[in-house]
Amino acid sequence: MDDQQRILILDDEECIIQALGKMLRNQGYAVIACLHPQEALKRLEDSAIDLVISDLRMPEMTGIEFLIQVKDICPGAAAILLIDQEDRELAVAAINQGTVDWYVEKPWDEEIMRITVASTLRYRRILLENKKLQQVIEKQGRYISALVVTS
Amino acid sequence: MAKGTIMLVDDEEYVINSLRRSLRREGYRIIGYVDAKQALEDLKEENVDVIISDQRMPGMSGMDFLIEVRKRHPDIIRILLTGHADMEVAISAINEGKLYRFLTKPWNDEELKVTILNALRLRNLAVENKRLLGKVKGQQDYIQSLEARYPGISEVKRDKNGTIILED
Repeated sequence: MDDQQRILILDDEECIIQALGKMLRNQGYAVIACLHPQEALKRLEDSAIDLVISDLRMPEMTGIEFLIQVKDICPGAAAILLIDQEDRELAVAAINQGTVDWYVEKPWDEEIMRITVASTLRYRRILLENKKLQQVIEKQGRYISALVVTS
Repeated sequence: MAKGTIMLVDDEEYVINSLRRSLRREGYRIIGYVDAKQALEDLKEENVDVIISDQRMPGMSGMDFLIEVRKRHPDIIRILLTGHADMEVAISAINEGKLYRFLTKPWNDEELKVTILNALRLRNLAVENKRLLGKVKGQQDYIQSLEARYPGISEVKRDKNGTIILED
């Protein structure tokens, strides 16, 4: 299916990516699951991803460090951070900086996760629409200038 | 200038005050109401970006209030403040597009702040897109009026379906 949205999930715990992957696939998303940040970055270079969900605490790098790199490779992808309750402030700071869109606490409530994923993807769609409208305005503007010169 | 106007609606004044305290460093203009009907009345005049309403209030439930807001002011972002018992109501309202999000009582400050921040981002972007769409339509009208005044002006620039070909 062409319009299926693609989500990449990264967590060093296999049970987390399995549970989250299964849940998101059941909701109709295409899921790429990774255990290591480098592997995830490689996958992001190779395929178009709409949303990245990353754990915060991982042995190789933090989720925030990872998502900063994601923004370089794939600036249009939305990002959700998986956190433990005590890391809320870190997550809020990353959201304020624009690195992350939302956070979800572990263990997550399925409904909260579903709602958060849906509203993050919805915002991304509106953002893409915004870019598209700006392009149309620019193109039409150039066309109008050409017409006015001709007339 | 305030970063946005947040309307808080709860029949218990201390909840409004407590929400105000949680948000005091965020730079928002905050208006509080203990009466949903009055809030609805004042929305005729007030320019509000986000509403957070309690669910359980005498006279009018938060959900009924927010549904009414949606009818009258569909662009205002609506958030319901609920107890755990009313979560199901909130979730189905979100699924039906009646609500943006819900917050459970007692809320945690980070969740409150992030929810409002994202609500405002969405609201600003939606308003901006509406403006841009208006501009696109304005440009299209102008192109049509030029074509009407100078027939054939853009003939060569249309494809066989009549679609305007725009060169990069």
